[in-house]
Amino acid sequence: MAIVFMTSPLIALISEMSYGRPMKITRNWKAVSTADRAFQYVDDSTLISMDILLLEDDGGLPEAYTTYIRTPVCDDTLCNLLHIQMYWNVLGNYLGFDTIAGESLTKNDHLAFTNEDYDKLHQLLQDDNAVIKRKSKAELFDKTETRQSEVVDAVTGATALEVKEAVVDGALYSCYTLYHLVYGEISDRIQLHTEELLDRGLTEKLLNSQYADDQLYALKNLNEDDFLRYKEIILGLIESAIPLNRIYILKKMPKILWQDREVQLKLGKYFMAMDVNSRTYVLNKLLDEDWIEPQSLNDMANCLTELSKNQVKSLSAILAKNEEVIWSSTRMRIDSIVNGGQFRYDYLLQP
Amino acid sequence: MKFALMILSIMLHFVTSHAQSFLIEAESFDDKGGWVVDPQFVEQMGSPYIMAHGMGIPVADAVTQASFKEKGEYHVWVRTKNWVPGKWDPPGRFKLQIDDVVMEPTLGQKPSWSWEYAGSVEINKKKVAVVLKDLTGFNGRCDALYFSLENQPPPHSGEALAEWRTEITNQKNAPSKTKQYDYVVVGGGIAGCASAIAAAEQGLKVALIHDRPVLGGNASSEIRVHTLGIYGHYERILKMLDTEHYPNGSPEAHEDQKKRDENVKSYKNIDLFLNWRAYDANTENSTISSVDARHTSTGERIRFKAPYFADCTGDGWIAYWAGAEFMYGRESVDEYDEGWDEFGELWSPEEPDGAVMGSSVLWRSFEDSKPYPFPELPWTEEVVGDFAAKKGEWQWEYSRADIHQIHDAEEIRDHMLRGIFGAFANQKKLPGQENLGLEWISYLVGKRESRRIIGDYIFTFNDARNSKKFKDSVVMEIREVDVHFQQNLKDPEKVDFLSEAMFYKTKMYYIPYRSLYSRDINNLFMAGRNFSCSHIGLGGPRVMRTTGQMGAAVGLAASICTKYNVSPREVYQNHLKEYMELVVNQNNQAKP
Ligand SMILES: Cc1cc2nc3c(=O)[nH]c(=O)nc-3n(C[C@H](O)[C@H](O)[C@H](O)COP(=O)(O)OP(=O)(O)OC[C@H]3O[C@@H](n4cnc5c(N)ncnc54)[C@H](O)[C@@H]3O)c2cc1C
Repeated sequence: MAIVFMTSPLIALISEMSYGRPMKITRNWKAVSTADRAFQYVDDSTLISMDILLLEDDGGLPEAYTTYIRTPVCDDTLCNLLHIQMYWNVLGNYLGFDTIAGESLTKNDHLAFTNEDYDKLHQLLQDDNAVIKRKSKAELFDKTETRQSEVVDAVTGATALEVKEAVVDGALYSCYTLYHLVYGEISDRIQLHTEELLDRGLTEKLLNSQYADDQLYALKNLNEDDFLRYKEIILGLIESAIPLNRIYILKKMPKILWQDREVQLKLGKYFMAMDVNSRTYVLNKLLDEDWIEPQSLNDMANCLTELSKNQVKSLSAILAKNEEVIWSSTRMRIDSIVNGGQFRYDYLLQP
Repeated sequence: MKFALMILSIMLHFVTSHAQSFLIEAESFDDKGGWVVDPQFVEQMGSPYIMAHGMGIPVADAVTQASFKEKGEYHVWVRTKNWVPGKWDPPGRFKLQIDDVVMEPTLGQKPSWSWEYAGSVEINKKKVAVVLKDLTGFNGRCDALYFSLENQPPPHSGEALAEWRTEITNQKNAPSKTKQYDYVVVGGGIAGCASAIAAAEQGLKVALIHDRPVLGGNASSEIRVHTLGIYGHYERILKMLDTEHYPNGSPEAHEDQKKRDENVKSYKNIDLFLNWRAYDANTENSTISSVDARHTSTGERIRFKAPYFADCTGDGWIAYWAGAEFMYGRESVDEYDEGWDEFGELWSPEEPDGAVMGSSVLWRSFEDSKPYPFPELPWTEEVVGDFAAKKGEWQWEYSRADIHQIHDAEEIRDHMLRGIFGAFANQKKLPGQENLGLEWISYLVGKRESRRIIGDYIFTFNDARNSKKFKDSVVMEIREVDVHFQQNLKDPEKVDFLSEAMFYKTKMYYIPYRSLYSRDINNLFMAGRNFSCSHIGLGGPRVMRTTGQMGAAVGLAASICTKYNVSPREVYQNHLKEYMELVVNQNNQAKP
């Protein structure tokens, strides 16, 4: 059933809209000052065209993208028109949505979405790896009995039950359609658009962002000089970032920074609070470094009892290699741990 | 020699003497009671051992009769390990009883494998019962017992221990028994079984060496992963081996186990060596002449000679011992151009690293008809926090930058056990869970990824995403490429033993024969998850019908090799047409 909707010019209507805090939003909403058209998107299957707008923050830096989505949602017998204002962050990831006055979302039975339904939709859209992501529409409608066993290593096909749990009850098609709009081509094109705009200002904004995806995006675009330029921010991130980003930084950090006293001091200081994989990386890296800051070594030795077996082995190798710079107080502390009878891996450090 | 040789009644090989001292390997006990034989970590800790895997209920005693020819006061050491050292009672505690005397020390106390002193005992008769008494049901373990009239413990570990062991047990590392075959397959997962069958059907005399009592590897009733993927050209063969689509961990695995074992055993020209673990591949001029294997309980050894070998161990052991090139870890995104923006670093990192997909231990619980008590387990808390669960699925997966899926496999298994026991203990604290009981916990590590042996062709993500065809396409698959990452990389609050999958949907893709033989060992095939592929390349075809296809493909290739007395590479170079005809006609063949 092919329904073609006229591509009517809604732009006038859109530009008059104000972009206050959307109804559902994954992040703090920053007031936006301008909205410019970034690009136009025409949906392949419906031929509906949409204007994707770029929203800027007070400082004139890109903050988000938005568009007014009108799309038909069809089940076996009839189609409904769905209206919603959708938001993405500058990386093209889902940010939030807003309802359009007088056009609340409806379910199969034509009842309007409740607050809980909007919550559920928001939850689904936030999951960038949701069970309906790689399902075709036909697979969704597959009514054959699936067993619980379908949830296995490697089966994308989630069970009917899993799908049901992920979507708004009675609004499978709307959820599916919106999910694929949010994570479809628009998202990719937003990324391309942002890439064009990525300058120092935006880079700093993203590095300083509290959100992991912003940080990683900016980090990926840094070269060696940038690492030196943003050293302070980078050190802050080593302390605060999620493990994925922290490890990325550690892997990418240029040699000159590994040899930097301030960097080593900070690594020692943050060591205790780091995730296990980052700790492993730091230990193995420092084992290869020619020079190590005694204070950092001391700090790491203080974490001895928190380390995994293989990490204790690495630390012990570092200690052996840097014998001459180990403070006697550090040495004493290690000895007391090793001889205290309480440390589970003491045998690894005994002569 | 002052004292006569002292040996245990039937175990000629495992118990021998050094004058007044002798060793009993725990896995050779006459009656293992409720203790299970665990040969998974031989390469790391030196021997198969037995383990009290009672899911929290102490298991029945393991008993053996020791023959003492000399009377006197014997010192006794037990090689064991506290598998969760910390500020709590060791979970795997047990006692040693000699005849009627329960020895004072509680065993299973020291971290890492070592000899714990069990005290001394006066022996004044010839036959004495030696009994291991489990105290906890929480995976106490015993490798061996050493009796000596001298108060001198054996070497602690490593080379010294290994040498001492061969000496005390009077064994040479080289087996004295030799067997000759056309084709030797090591590892009886789906890949190994399919390979043995395919070769046997072509008339080859085949040895299939497998270190477990049942066939199927991850698909066996001991691990219980169901098989995925398509049959390709080998439907007839693979249907003898695969499983129904039951939930992972389901006891329905037993039915398929029966089918599989019976089918493989029905081949007269397959000699099946169950409970035999290979431990070396004798190689000269890049050619393997033989593989040495040892029985996991009796310690008996056999040398298997053949012109062709297949490494279906999953871990690439034969390749490793033969000195073949292999890969481990994640390649950089640029190495094979395998990037996928959607998942970026999680999919394929800018810098290569040692991270791989992790291993799993599956488990299930059940509703008992009466209350099922379960203790508080302080030794699980640092792993689980307040995470609670009733069963484990594939997401129960463990991988970490500092642990290796082979070298640290025991630590991985034990970490998973802590996760399982702890999550279950937490579940039991919830209301309405009084009758919830533990039905089954595997003690075998189900692995996904470790060594990948390098072949003439390295299969990558791009071969899958571009549906690349080869003139030697012998395996085909439509299953998505899926690669996992640990959930705590994105959310450090998550327990560290859960993973998440990333799926890349593809059309039909193909694997060339050239990625199924070693590029530098002349007569070595490989099939299964250790075939020649990149980290992401493994994401799709690691499932077991696909690995079964690989196995069947190399079994057929071995028959061409045998027919023309050529190397696996020459099959591709000079006999491809004949080989491909054999492959594509497989389904039309009846079982001979
Ligand atoms: C939890 C989990 C879920 C999974 N989900 C699925 C799924 O749903 N469907 C699917 O098809 N696949 C699944 N997989 C992947 C699949 O099970 C593995 O990739 C499998 O290992 C491939 O089979 P294989 O024959 O290569 O190796 P294995 O099944 O590992 O078989 C190799 C066998 O060789 C034996 N062996 C090893 N060394 C020696 C030696 N030295 N001497 C003698 N024998 C030896 C081992 O004991 C082992 O049994 C899953 C894996 C896990 C861990």
